[in-house]
Amino acid sequence: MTGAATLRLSVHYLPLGVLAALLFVLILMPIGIIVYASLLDTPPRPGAVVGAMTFDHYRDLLNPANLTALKNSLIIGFGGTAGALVIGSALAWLSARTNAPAKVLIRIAGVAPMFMSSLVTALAWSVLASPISGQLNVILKSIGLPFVIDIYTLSGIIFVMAISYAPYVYLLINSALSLMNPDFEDAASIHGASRWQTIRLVTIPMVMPAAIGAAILVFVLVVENFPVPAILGSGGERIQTIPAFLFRLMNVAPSRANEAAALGITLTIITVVLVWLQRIYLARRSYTTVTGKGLRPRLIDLGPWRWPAAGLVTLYLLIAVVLPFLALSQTALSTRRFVRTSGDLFNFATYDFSRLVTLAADNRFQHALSNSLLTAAGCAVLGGILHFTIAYYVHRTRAPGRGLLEQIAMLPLSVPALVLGLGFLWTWFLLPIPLYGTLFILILATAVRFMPQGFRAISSTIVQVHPDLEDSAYMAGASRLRSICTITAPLIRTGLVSTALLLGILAMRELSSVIFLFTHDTMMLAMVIFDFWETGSVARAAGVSLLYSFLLLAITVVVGRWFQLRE
Amino acid sequence: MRSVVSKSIRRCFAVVPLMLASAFVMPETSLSEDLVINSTTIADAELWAAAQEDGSFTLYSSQSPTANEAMSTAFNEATGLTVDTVPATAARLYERILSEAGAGVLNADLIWITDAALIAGLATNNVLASYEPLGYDKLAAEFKAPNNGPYFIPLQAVNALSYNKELVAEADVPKKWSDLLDPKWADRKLGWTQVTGGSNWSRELWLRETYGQEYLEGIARQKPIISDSNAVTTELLSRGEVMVAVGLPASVAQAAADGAPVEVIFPEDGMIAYNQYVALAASAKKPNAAKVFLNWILSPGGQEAIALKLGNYPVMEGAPGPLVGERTLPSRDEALIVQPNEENLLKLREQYQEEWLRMMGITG
Repeated sequence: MTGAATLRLSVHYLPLGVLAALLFVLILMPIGIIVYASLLDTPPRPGAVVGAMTFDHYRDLLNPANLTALKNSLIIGFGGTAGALVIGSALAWLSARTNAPAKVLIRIAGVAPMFMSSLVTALAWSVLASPISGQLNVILKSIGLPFVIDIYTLSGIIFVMAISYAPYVYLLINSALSLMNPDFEDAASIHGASRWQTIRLVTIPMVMPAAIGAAILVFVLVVENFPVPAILGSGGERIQTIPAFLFRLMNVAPSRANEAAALGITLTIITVVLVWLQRIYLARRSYTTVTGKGLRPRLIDLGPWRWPAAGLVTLYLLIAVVLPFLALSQTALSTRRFVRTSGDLFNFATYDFSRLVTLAADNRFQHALSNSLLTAAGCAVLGGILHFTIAYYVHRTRAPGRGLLEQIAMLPLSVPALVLGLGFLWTWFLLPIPLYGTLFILILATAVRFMPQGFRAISSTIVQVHPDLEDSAYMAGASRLRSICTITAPLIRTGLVSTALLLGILAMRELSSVIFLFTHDTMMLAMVIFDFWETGSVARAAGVSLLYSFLLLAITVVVGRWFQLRE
Repeated sequence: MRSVVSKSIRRCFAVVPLMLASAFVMPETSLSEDLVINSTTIADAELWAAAQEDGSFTLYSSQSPTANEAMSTAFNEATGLTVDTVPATAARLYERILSEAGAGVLNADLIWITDAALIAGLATNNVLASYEPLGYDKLAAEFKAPNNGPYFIPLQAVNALSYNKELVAEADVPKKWSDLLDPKWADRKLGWTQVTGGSNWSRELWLRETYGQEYLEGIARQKPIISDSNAVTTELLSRGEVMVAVGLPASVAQAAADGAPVEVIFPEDGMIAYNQYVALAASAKKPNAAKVFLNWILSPGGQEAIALKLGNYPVMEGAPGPLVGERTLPSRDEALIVQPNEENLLKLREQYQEEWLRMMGITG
């Protein structure tokens, strides 16, 4: 090969090389360091003597404490998933396929808990149903009912997980049910199947891929969820889960980082296996039944069950949204810390709205708010560009190793957020770039954490645009970059902007992947809530939770409007 | 022309009040003299000139953000020097310091850590520099260079007990640590805190050294509610989830000031002290301002700030007792302050912590 050709080739592959290097540092290195740390007897630190190799941490995983944590994680995983599936699919079915009244209410019930993030829901339930001073228990006692609701239990945690993740199930199953070709159901009823037989033999099998997909997604999210067990697992019975245990290992002094790494690898193996199972399962199924020819599926007449169904939805809405909201409001606004009777609870004279105003005007809140918005914006823009670049290489070039590129981009899906954050921490301590302590490291962490979502969303829009359009610009003499900027990017701008918005919202909600990375100066809202809770300021935690939920709601409504306008 | 004039007028307006203010803040100092506050020398002329050149220093501190702020404000009022504080929990700070030091980018001039094992670890890693502040010779031996490290103890905080006034009758209030074994506190009425950092570890070790392992086993049999931090324990007490609990006087007093019906109990058999440690960083970029801080913290002014602003026990003789909420505690000379063996604090931690977790039924 001539020198000029080599040069041209290397210039050609230069961007790919940069991208590969970037992904190596952002994804492979953090994971690699965790694996490495789990096999050493000292934490990985720059300049330090490398510790000795040991398998002790893996052997220690078999001690009773870890096994209990594993058992709890699995119980909560199965229980939470089952609960979320029942709630989510029931709401989806009512909304998409029945003539239940008040469809708006059902749709709200389906998605609303999403705005409260699991952190806020857990916090709300800890003040609602702690065994003695919990607001619900105070009311139960006041009206003379002899039982106590204790949220600081395994079933309490499962309940909060089910509410928090039901919206994911609702969204996935709702779209499957709405797109379903009704011909099959019609065929069944024409051949004499009863309504129940039709549901059992036709409808359920047809939404099965969506249901299984949702179940595995929710299971992974529940198992790696850290705020819920951190808040509800330490109030009464001590319920240890793997993520909560990992967090505690990092927070004891001196921290037990190598054990935490080994635990993180274990958690990762669980999620990798699940995601892999899901792929195998989905690969074997054909989706042709869920094509959506624009046919509206027939609605099932619930008859006399219409109103009980609406009642149940209302009850659920009350439990999942209204109660937590009221609980947080009472906690944030009341000046009375010690509540003994329902009279104390509803003594509005003790409510002080200026507390919320003071909190909103507080330096710490304002600082966290601007950090959250900056991180969200950074993740939306930088993450968007990064995910676009990867998607472009994967779908639009014949660059070698693009299949591998896709695999790497999807990798963060299987790595629990807490573990990813830990890997990030060590990576950026070891690299000679002082990113720790800046907002930039939070932006990078969220951009990596949500890379699978960003990559998928952009990929789906890129493949809709035929490459010939861009290639003609290239043939006519424009550079590749210019062709992308003037042809492809404008054509998929709706998809790009929606992805960026999605990334922004996800980053705004994030706690787990950044909890090891923030410092006093780079706190985001979710961390302020967690920190207030951890330092015993439950009233302030509740106040910030309220403001935070309103903010998420406002952003989502604005974004939702934007989507509708574009559709 | 006009703008230049107005600019210089504006500059005058900015500078004059500053000069006036500094005249009030530092009545006894000028550039070429010693720094003397209330007739105590804080820095000789050479150090003081260099410290003013520094103007500020960076403090890595695992104290609570409120304590950090109170301390740096008091120091700033006394000397005019500024403290840039980087607060974090002890475990986090430790990792950060070692990592930054390893990479040669340690930003701290002064390190303040609330944990014996961690400060010893920093000393082993050669991150700390030895410095004997003015007044060091008057410091009692127990506060000097514990475990022969290049650091000292500027203050002690204490572990006490606390109770909910709405739930516990006056006659039932426990008076001693041993009263907690009374059957009336059985079954989730007692709040306890897990050993995560220095304060809880000192408490558990002293209780075990004094009353034996049986005592902690007895506590475990009471089925206490165990939280991860004393702040959360105090919150549970405030809400009435538990009736009696371990607690740090400052945070219990804070909860009471916020309207919670809680009160501190100072056990008759002793308030269990835990030490805080401070040291100069070996790689300090502004060591002079940091040295002035170390001199000040041991001076009567600094020690008074510790008692009155931070609500902790100063270490110098003759210093006042801490002001906790509206109560002033008896001074060090009158109060019964107990503490575990300093060497055991380092030596027994891992073993006792594991046994503790097992005793309390947290691990199998």
